[in-house]
Amino acid sequence: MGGSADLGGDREVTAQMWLRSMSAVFLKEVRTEWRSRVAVLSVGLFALCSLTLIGLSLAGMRATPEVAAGLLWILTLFTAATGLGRVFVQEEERGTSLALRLSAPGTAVWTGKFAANAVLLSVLAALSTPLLLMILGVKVANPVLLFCVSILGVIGTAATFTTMAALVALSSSKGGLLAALSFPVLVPLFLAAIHGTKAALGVGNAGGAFAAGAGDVQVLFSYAVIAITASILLFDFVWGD
Amino acid sequence: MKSVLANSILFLWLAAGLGYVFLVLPAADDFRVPELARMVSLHLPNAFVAVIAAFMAGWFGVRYLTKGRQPIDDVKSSVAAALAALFCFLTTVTGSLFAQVQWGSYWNWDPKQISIFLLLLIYAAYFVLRAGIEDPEKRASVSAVYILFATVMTPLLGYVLPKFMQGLHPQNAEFNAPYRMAIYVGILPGLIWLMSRMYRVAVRVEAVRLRREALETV
Repeated sequence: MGGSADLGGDREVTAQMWLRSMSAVFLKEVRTEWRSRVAVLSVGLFALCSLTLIGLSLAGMRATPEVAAGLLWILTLFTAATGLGRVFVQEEERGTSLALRLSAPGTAVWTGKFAANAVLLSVLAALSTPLLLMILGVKVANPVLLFCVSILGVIGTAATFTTMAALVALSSSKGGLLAALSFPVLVPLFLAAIHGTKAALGVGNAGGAFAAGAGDVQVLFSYAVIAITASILLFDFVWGD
Repeated sequence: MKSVLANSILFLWLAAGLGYVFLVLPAADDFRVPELARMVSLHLPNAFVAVIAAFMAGWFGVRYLTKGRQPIDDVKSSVAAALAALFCFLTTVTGSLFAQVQWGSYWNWDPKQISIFLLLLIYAAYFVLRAGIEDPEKRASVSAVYILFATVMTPLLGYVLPKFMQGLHPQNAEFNAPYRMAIYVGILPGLIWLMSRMYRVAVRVEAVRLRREALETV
């Protein structure tokens, strides 16, 4: 009798410890980022440069919503490729990955870093999306749908990029490889995200109904769930030894 | 001696299969160029074999990670991945030639074309990733994790792509008896056999290399 109660207590304690290490990893990422602001600034500037280039190439012309949806996700892909690799590459470069391995369980490390990446990418998307739509002169037919598609797309992208960053950190060619590894597995997400964004911008959906993009939201949600589950299951194999 | 016999039977089977396709198989009248419809009997088995090799790569990736990290499982997984890339490439070439005569262009961004192109991208990234990691154990676990992540995520394409774009590939095509004969008897068994021969030879060569490296480091 007592044994089973103890077991339950143990489980609670380990769950608490897991949560504590996870939030410690997350806060560590946020704090180091807050001290230097390198990622936000460099990646933000990169996004700004891309936006400027889009503005210059359009030169006052209005883009169609179809083009706007494509550009929005191209911007997200490149922002992710420039900004999300740092979480693991930095640990390897500073030689701190061994200390991190010893002080926290692998799944907690992955989840903390994923949360930090998701927050970073959401912040950048929240800044760049309105700017891009303004530059392109595109009207939003359903802001709620746009928000749902963006946030779920960002979460799925962050999950895949976090896992790929852990793989790339162990390789000698870190920079270019991250996007090459992530892109082919992200295509299902991008297809649904672009379709959903088009619906939110009123393509074939002049009334701005949420139902026009509900299927895409479902696909994006399942992508995020599968990517997070697969990552958590697989991460220990590259991190554990 | 045994392998010489096996190889000659394999060679004869493939020669007979190809002979059947090129000399006996009738042209299919409902195609734009009936004579060239025979291409399908080369295209389809290549796609099957590519899928088999892709699953082998994933299977040996799982084995490597869960069954005590034997270096030979990594060798098997990477050889299967290379064969999957090769047969994906052959499927793309035969399909692309067929697309030119049937659909008017070598490349049409059809869902299946996009899927196979993404598979080729995944294998290309996989081998670049492997090339960039010196430590054999790290290389093995990193590439196993990548191939498994890709194996889990790519089936989503099969659901998402047909939703968003129209396909040109026929749905549930039914072949008549000579075509079934050509595909499932003439070409497919020989091709699977060929793939498994290539697989065995490559694994043996890589195993020798592994042993030599182990001796050199001692």
